[in-house]
Amino acid sequence: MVTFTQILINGILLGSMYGIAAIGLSLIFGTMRIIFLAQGTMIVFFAYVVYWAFTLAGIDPYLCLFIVVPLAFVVGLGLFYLLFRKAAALEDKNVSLLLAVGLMYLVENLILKIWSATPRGLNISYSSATIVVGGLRVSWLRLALLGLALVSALVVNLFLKKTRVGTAVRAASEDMEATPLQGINSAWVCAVSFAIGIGLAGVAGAGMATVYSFDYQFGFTFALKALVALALGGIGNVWGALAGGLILGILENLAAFYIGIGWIEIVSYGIFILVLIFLPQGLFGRRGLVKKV
Amino acid sequence: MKLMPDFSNLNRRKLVWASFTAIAVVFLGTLPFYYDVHNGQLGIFFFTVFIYGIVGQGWNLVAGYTGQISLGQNAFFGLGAFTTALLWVYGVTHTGYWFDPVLIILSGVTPIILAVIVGLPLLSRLRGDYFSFGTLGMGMIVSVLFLNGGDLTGGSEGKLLIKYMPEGVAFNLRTHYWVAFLAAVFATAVVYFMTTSRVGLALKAIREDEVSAASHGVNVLKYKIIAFAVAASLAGIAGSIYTYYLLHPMPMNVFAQNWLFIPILMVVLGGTGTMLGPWLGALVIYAIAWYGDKFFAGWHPVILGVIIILVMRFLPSGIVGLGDKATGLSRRGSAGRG
Amino acid sequence: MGKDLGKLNTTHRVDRGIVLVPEGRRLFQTLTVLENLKLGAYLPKARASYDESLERVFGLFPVLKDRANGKAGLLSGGEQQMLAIGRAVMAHPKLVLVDEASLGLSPILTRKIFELIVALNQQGTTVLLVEQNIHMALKICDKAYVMKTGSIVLSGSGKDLLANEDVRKAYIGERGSRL
Repeated sequence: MVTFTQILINGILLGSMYGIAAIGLSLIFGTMRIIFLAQGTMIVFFAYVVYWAFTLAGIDPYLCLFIVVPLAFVVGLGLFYLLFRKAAALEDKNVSLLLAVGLMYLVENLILKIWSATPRGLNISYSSATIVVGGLRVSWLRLALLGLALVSALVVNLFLKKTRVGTAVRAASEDMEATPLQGINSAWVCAVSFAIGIGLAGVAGAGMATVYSFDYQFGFTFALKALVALALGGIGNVWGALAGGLILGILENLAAFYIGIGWIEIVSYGIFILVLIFLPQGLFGRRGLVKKV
Repeated sequence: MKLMPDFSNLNRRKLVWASFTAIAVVFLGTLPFYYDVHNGQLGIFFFTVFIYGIVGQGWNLVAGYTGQISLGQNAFFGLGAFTTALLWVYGVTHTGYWFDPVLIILSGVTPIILAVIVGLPLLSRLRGDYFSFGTLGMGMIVSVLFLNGGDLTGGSEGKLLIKYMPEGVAFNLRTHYWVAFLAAVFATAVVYFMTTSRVGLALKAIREDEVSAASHGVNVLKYKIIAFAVAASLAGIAGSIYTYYLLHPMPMNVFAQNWLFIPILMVVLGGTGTMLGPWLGALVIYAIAWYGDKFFAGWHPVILGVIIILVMRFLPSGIVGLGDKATGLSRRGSAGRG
Repeated sequence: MGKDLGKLNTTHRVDRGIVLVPEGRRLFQTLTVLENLKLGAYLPKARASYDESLERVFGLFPVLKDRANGKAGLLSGGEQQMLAIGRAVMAHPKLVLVDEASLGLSPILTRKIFELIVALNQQGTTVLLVEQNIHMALKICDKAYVMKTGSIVLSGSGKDLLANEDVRKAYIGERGSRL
């Protein structure tokens, strides 16, 4: 029983990473209708930034959030206006897809050139601090990950529900062409969603740096896992994306324990395809949002 | 603005393209007679262009003519590669194995089976982005299955085929060149036939308006699956031929993302939904990658990333689109009804 | 005004006081009625008069006030058309372009929508109506234009056109029209 609970907890922690990434993907997909396959690579990139800040300047990774997230937001704005703005307006979505792939190749291999292929991880003074509840050992850092995910979801949700631009983002996710009729600058709406998506990659990157060891190749699979989480939770729903991430994390950890580590991927992508076919609106999504073109 | 396109201009363009194609085919088809393709660099250069182009031509059929964006071509490529490798290693067919037509054909058949099995649920229920997601998931599952295949598939090590070379066979790129060239011509012919026949008409109708096509009696699912299966088969044949060059198929190399994204890049650059676009794109992209690697050794993947970004940023409608812009003809919107 | 609008993008046109009520309404179905109205007053100028505009919309369409927090997609066809017009009014426009307001509505609802358009007009907003229900449209309009292959072939007051023989033949179903 204790093992099972331990698996569950590990699953939730892995899942909170998927969740943060999935929320970012959801925002980008919602407005620009592109699968931003470089999301995972961006996360790894920011994990390296946090790693550098820690090893070179001794900046605490959680303190570093206040540097990395604004940085990621600005990087997101820059990427949007430099690369994606024109592509997002095209009907041919292959262009945006390939731009994301090109960005993924570029960043992935720049990481390889700068930081080499050796997996990195942080060794923080308090990383061994744990709390023990009923015979279960949970490290503070891992618990903080869940907190990070919850706060991210809360902030994004508040942004979407309470701000003017957030409402415009939701409107654009539903009908991009109708937004200019209200005087909404649709490029800016896309830019903001994209920047928040990359900002969330910054959050996830800092989280990843504290707990996991990572290398340059990690990104693509991670982006796909975020996509699975997104499909599972239902597109267009922040809490759904987080929940999808948590469920996927738990299922993967269960699969690793009961079936074998090598079969995790089969379980994840199997669920992915089944969900797409039989439950396209996801577990928590609204039916109306699934556009059957 | 002209209401009617200028047909004399169009015909001249077609004539230019046709003669260009004829010259290219004659040049490539006779190259081994006056050029040492085994030792010279052009041999391996064009061999690789052919392989990528065949995969691209298949993807083009699905994306350019039916508007469905498949993100699973690497699965079919790898499946073809492993079909060849496993039939050979286990001596299943008792045929010649080295560039054995039976093996190459069978490597084109297994992807069809997978495409139909996966295509039926995916294509009947999913459209647009969701189909792309589904094929992406399928690709991952297939590659992990081969990774976990244990001794049967060789796991992450794959199968080392050099040990199984039949006696008296020499590894000569001349053979590779010929087979890949013929397969490239075959792939283009198949796509040409499919797009100019009734099938092609149905595919274009589906791309333009699926509901309307269905209401006019076009069996949408059937044609989508036919296109998807033919594309899969072409990728499998390319995988099979490439295996004879690689001689060591592993999940890591034959299911690599490169076999998915590079052909797509080539097609989009060359012009989606056009017959020669994939070849033009393959030639240009591989030439850039080839010289990039020469001048900046070791920076190959970085250069690839930069190329993809630059091409998509500044040439989103492809080379063919550029030509159209120059002659003032507008081009039909390509794939990607999101 | 007297300025060429051709070069302005949509945002600037809205800012100059020209708003379109698109064909098929194009509401943001998953957003609430109130959120749709808020988006109507998105630009700074319109936002300055948000409270006033909202009161005006709720005055014209009281039903929207009752359903303010419901999802726009759950409104009936007529209510959705009211919301689409209301959303345009939120932009504090000088000119509202209404494209096929009667599309998909029953004759009774169409009449109701037309009455509301008249009320809106009487509050001082110019309305340009593109409409296939020509009989009803001609009855309420001050000026009417008949277009054929992109150019105006006939114009006059609504009453004049309604009495015009060619118009009657072409649109109201008598034979032998020259239009």
